[in-house]
Amino acid sequence: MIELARKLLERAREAGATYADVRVIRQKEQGVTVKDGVVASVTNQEDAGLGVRVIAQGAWGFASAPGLDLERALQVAEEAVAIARASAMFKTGEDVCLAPADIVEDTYSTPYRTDPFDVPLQDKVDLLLKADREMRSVGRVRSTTAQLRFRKEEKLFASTEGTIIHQTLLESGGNISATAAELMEAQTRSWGNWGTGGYEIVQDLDLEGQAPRVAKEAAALLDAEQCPSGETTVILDGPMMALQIHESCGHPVELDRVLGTEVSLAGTSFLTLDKRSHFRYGSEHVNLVADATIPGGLGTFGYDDEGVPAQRTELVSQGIFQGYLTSRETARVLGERSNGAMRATGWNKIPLIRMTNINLEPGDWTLEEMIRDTKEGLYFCGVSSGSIDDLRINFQFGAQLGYRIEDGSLGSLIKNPTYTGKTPAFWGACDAIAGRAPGEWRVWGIPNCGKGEPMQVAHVGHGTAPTRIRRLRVGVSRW
Amino acid sequence: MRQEPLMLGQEKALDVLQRVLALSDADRTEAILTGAETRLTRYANNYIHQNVVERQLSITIKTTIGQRTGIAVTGRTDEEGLREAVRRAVETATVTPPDPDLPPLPQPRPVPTVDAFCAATAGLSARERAERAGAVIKKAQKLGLVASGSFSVATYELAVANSEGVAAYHPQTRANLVAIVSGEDSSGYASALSVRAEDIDVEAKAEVAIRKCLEGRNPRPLEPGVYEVVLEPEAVSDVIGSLALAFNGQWVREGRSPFANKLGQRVFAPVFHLWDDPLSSEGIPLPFDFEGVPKSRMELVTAGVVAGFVYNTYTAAKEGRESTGHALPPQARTFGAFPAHLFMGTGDSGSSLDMAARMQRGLLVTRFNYNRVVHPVKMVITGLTRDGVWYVEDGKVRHPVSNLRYTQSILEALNDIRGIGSQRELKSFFGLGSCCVPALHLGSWSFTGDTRL
Repeated sequence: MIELARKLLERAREAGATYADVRVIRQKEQGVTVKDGVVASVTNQEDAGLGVRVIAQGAWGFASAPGLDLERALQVAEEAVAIARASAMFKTGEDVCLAPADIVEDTYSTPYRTDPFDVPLQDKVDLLLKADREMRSVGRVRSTTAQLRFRKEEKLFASTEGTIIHQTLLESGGNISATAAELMEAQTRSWGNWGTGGYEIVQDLDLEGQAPRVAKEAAALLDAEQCPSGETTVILDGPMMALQIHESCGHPVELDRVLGTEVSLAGTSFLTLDKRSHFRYGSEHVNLVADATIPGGLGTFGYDDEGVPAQRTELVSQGIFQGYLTSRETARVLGERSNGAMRATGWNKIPLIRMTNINLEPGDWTLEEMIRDTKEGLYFCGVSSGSIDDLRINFQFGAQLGYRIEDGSLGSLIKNPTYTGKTPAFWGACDAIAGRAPGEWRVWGIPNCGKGEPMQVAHVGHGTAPTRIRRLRVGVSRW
Repeated sequence: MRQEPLMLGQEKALDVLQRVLALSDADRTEAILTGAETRLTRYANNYIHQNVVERQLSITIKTTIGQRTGIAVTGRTDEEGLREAVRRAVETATVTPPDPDLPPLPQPRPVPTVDAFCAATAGLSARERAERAGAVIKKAQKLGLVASGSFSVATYELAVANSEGVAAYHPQTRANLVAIVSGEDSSGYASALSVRAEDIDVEAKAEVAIRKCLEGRNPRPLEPGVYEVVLEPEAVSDVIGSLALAFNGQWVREGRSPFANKLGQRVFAPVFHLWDDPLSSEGIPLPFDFEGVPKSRMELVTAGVVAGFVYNTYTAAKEGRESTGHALPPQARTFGAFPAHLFMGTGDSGSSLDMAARMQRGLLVTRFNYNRVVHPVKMVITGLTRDGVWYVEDGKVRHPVSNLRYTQSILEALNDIRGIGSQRELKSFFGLGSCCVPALHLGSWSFTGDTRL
């Protein structure tokens, strides 16, 4: 692979590239899905290919091809340069320049205990069938799904600057879901997680053990009262906070978005450059970081796809907005070095600024203390839906399940919980974050983060704990 | 310089699949080849910041032994690569528990002929794409505005073969323009989709985006509430896209669709007519599905009455019926089937501005953003206006307004249709699909929030 990469970079340089990098990737994936008591699909996927990114005449070009054929690879290098020359027809101002980066020769592998590709398929199928059976044994449950997915990526990054990095990244995870339905009402509850690591991630999820709870909650929701409308105190559980962070912090701190290069798809960001280091994003309890170095996060790796090492970056400190996720090109605008957030979702995709693990630092409460301390409010659990505007200000999220909180105790069940607000007001009303009790702070993987054109679906992580928000508007619209 | 895409072509694609079938000793084998080459030029801040050629080739092999199934996917077309993939699929099938409901593979049937491939579009060069992006940039720049968007040409190949004798191949091209023009406090949007790049009038689309941007300057805040709306075709396609989920026969069976027990009943206003027509040249045609089942026009809503649901072979068998030709790739079987070539009937209400002229107090909406289903059975969706929304009173467009969030039941909204536009526009829709819809005047739409910081 190294020889192929070297020849390809040389050809790009000969064709006129002033900078080039290549990613040569072999990847395999396994997915096992059980639906309604039968194995719906067992998929084994293997793939290899390469993508070349160049700067020529001061503009970007990118081309890719499946397979690792040398002749094809050399054509791809020339094609990338030709594309860059076409890009150069419409450039404004200065040429593309990259912030400096250390030249690295290194290797990185995801730590794991058990390689999921060594676990017999039969064991995986048995686990899912058992979990599925548990869910289907609960009355009024109409459909169930249980799935596992594993991904191993061997990636070589090489650049004309001399960096050569080999990485082997391993992801594992699983999910179960039960939908209970009656006429004109359907309620879904789910449980699962995704991370970097081995089969131990699946074992820790205890899908079989969680299945009865998941199904019973879905069924019970059919008889629950509709979420009330109005303003109240809300405690959001870890998965709900993961989505909240993802949409209202992770995306708006992507510097390419801030600089306007994502307008054509999802928009820009209210966190403009002038707000850095002084804008009050949230209350003094709110500390958010991007950390690609934490063990097990779905956004954990050794180096990004520009060869920049994984890092921890402060985004919000004691409620004040501090920093962005950057690339080598965008970091230069700030006069800084990249903090290593450029990732592509495959050999045929161009790297974009992507979230790593965007984490809300744990607070000094426990969930139990927060509930006890809340006279009246709601506790929302599990993600159902999410939407946010093109500046990342106005959001509306739906949870799977809610409880009333009355005089410091959990009360009756609530269905169709929704809440809405504006990003700084939401975070400004955060007055308590859990995380003191063991296991309350946890990293949740989001394997479906869409961005870019052509669309890329990235895998990212969010460390969260249950969090309390005052004066939150719930129960949106007519039901 | 023309740049021919790296397509396999019909002969080679079907040869790859026949080799797969020959290598398999399973009872039944199905093989699907998908090839895609997307050449996309993306611009923002009045320059091209991204210019890519993205290629993907995959062969999905589904083997069945008795009632046991295994799937393998590979990007290799050489003998060794195919043999290894077949081996993995067969090996998987041997350890998978039997599925008693597994239906037989589809039998070969004549596949309709459609024209969805344009060689000139497939060969469009990076320079020609850059020129189209540049046309939008130049127009915006001249007025001190900022252009963002993309121009892409994509070439797709879909081939399906199975051990029962199905062997089908379809090539497709798609040219797609997105133009967003932004000013200090406003933005405008226009898009175009066609099999042929030459059909896209880039200059005209740029002018629409510029006009909307200029007419959207100085937006005023508007109190959220229930308003009449005129939705332009882009916004209608967002709404119809969410509604399409409800016609999935599997969702109906599971009680997750609002149409369970509603077949043959009137659910929408009598003027509402929706159908799926993958063969129409007004859309982006696709003659067969991912199981090789031929497609045909299918009514979904006729005069407000729910007329049909879509199925793949598996979900159809559960209902004791035939597939409607809406299968997705085997990996997506748990989702069910999906109608991705939607058409909505036109009316006699003219253009969106004609309809706005008949509106008492409402909003004229260019498009929606980040639409999500909040409750699938009640078909409550949420999202936001984007790139141009205007307040209309007594039939006059009064002023632009800041973007608003809506939370609305589509079922309720489509029961109060005040007018339907006279012309349809083609919009991009879920992968290989398309959606062809007119503008729509609705009696009420619930706006539930604003976007002011």
